[in-house]
Amino acid sequence: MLVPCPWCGERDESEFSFGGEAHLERPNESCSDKDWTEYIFMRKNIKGENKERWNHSSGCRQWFNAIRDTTTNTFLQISKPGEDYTNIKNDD
Amino acid sequence: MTIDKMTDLSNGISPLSDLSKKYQDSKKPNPSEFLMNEKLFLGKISLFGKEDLFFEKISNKFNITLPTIPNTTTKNDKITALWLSPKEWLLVVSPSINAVEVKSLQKEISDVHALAIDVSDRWIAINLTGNKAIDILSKGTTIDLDNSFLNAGACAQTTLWTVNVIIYKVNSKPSFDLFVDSTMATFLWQWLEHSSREYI
Repeated sequence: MLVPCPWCGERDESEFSFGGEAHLERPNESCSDKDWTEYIFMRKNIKGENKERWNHSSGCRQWFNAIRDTTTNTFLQISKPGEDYTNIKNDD
Repeated sequence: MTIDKMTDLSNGISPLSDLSKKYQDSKKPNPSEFLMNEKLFLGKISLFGKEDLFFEKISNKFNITLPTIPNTTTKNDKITALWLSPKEWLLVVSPSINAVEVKSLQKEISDVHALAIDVSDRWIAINLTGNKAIDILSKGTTIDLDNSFLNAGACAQTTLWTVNVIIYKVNSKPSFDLFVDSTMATFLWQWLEHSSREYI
């Protein structure tokens, strides 16, 4: 699988670390145990378009967000932290 | 610490000194196919920063513009600056850089949010040349050296046979410089010798 790094371009999957689901918001300190458990442990595990964090650990070592279709392993969009998602050009 | 009187540590000893000497003394029937050499005594500085003033100070000090395009390099007659990440560069200084010059750089950038670290002894530089250099590197890396590494001056951080390396394309002969952590240098050298055996 080729993973599109927003800086280095497409590189092999072996250069990356998977960072789990993206855009999880840390709840307030005063939140309930249930909310905290949701935040720490519960993941959506979507079949289809999943928003994820990736780290180019053997390359530029930068974190970024990506939308990946978990049924086809196709990367659809990527974004640098704090920036909007952009489509990945697909020649197919 | 007890130091052998015969060991002159002031010159520094590369982890590759024994292996590279043995390699240089060995017969190489096809030197145009593949040759490797350790590049000794290069100065290396790890540089971190992002402010405009930081770029300006580096430019004034070394007369070099740090590359901002990923996986590219800039160079002048003494220094090559390799892009490592959006806020990080490796300066390779030839022939070398002394502690006083590094201190002077650190003082220069002390008033901006930036960092310069002397990593000369951390990275071992190995130069690979020859028609088969790409074939040999391709045995251990997933980077497409034929297509994504077209231009001289391209650089990339990746893994080579599980070892983290920086690959820098010096020219289109082709000639590559590999920067590898000193602790992994002998392992990688032996792997390169082994992998090149079918071509030399």
